[in-house]
Amino acid sequence: MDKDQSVGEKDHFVEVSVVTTSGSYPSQGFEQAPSRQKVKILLEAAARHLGIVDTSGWVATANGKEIKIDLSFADNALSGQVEIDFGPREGGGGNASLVF
Amino acid sequence: MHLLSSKIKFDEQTRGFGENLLKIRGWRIHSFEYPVLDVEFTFPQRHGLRVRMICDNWDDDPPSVQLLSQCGDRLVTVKRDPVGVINEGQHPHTGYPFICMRGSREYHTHSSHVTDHWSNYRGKSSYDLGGILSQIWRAWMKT
Repeated sequence: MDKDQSVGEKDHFVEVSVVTTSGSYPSQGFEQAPSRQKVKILLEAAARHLGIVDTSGWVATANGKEIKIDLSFADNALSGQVEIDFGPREGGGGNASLVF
Repeated sequence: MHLLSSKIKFDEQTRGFGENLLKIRGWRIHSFEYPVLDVEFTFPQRHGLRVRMICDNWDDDPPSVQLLSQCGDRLVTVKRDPVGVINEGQHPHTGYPFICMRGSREYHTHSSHVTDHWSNYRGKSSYDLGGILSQIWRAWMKT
């Protein structure tokens, strides 16, 4: 395999770590995933691995920006090594009255 | 909730806070020792916020959430976030600004929300200790 071919194949994959308050997936290092794979597939695997039952309404961010989990890593312009922060959005504000 | 059971749940739900999480979110741990989870939110060019969750009787009761300065003083003024999670008013029970969000004791004991029971949320993934803290952090990031 020549050098150009090796680099080309590498570009078809991303290395992903999913970070949550329940732990990280994989527990160490990164999981390799196809660039064209939807992000949510890996997030679902992470949730199963970490014992997170319900992630509805959760948000995934990478490099401080929210990503679209129904799109692929490539569509989210993610490449190389990617750390995804996955957790619930900000809570619904009670907006309790300031007058008591 | 039996004290030991409460402590076991506390420990289970805080041991996943790994170095990567703390680094990505800019969290600094001040206490992990039951019943106190004390975490400082940091972000470049901003004053940090310490959130101290008093988790006695977890998870029969939601945590009481105190808002502190970086040096640990109780805050008497806070900056409100757009959706009102960080409430600058005085809570009727504590007299301090508070977290007005499902999952905080101050929310569920506030006269505006006493009919929204903690039991509606207890045990859900977004309302374990990490989930509640994450929700508060994301609100703070939008202030």
